Amino acid sequence: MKKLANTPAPDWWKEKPAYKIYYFREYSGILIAIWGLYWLWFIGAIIFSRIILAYFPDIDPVFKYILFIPLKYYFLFNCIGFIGAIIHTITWLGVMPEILPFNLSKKQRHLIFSLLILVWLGLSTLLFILLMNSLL
Amino acid sequence: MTKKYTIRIRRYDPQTGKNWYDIHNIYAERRMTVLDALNQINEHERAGISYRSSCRMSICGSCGTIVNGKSVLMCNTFLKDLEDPVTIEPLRNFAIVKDLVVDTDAAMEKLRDALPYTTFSITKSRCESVQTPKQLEKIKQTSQCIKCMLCVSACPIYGLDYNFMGPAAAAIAYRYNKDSRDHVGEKRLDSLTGRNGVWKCNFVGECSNVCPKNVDPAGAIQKMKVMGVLHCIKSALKPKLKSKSKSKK
Repeated sequence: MKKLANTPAPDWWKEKPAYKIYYFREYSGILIAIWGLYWLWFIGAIIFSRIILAYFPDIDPVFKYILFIPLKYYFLFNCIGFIGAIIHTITWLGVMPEILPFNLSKKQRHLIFSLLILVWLGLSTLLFILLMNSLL
Repeated sequence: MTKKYTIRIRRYDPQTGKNWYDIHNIYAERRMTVLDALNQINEHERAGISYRSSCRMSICGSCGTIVNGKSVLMCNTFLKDLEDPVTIEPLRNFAIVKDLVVDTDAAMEKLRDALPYTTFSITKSRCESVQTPKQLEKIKQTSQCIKCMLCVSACPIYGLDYNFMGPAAAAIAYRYNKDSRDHVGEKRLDSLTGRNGVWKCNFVGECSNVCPKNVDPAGAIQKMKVMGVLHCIKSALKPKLKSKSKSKK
């Protein structure tokens, strides 16, 4: 007698909202990784541009363009990072009530999620104010 | 007051290898569960559908199926709460033996790897192992597990990698590790934080959503991860601490 394998379909992640949220959370990591790489590139461009321009003044313009991409598309890359961070934080805070050590109803879960969002927004605003005060 | 429901049941004949959906129309009362509906179909229509069931009060955990896409126990799912048509399928991630009966042996074997028992240290002076209500409170939630395997069926990670221990085994391991009377905690953590252990969990969270007993396996796995990290640090420092104490002697 044959048993039938019952494995998930290739598009299993479309089946439930929880699976979709999980996929969003995992893929938002790519956006954050792009943002992280952008900053490495940005810092590298600032450090090495002076050395390269000083020693090789007649540098290839294409190379020069590539080197200075982070300085030109500053807003775009930061937007990518910001969107990734927002998606990741919200979806992560959504599953946070799961790891609390007591039984919660759906209403309580939503309440804790909204409280976490409020705390996150409050802390972000505080950090922003502190940063702006120290810069100005 | 009765209402008409269309029930779609996924069927599988192991002898012919045929796989199809049966459609039945029934008139259901308000208090009718999915299990009652299947019983009625089998009794009145002679459908010959195979499924497991026993206690009818969500204690034995044998009537787990997927109803309208969600892993549930048929005995505590009421037809009035479901959208028409009601689709009943066997649990996912397990091989189908016949119709709604699945082979859960592989997942049950993984429970064995979690060492699901307590080892008491009985001394001559005290022949019983005492546990306070406070200590019991820590393991009460995870003790409710009835091994229905709904969490394993809902876990996409288990479906993609059958070597993963699964949420059921992790929840049970957490329960025994947190037990104040237990003395094999470190041995259990070694196997649980290994290659196919808790680190394969990506925290989808669906296992806790489907659990009929609110055991929260997702939470247990995350706590096991913390315990695993502490265990790793402890075991890395232990030889150094031992050698230090030896040199002092």
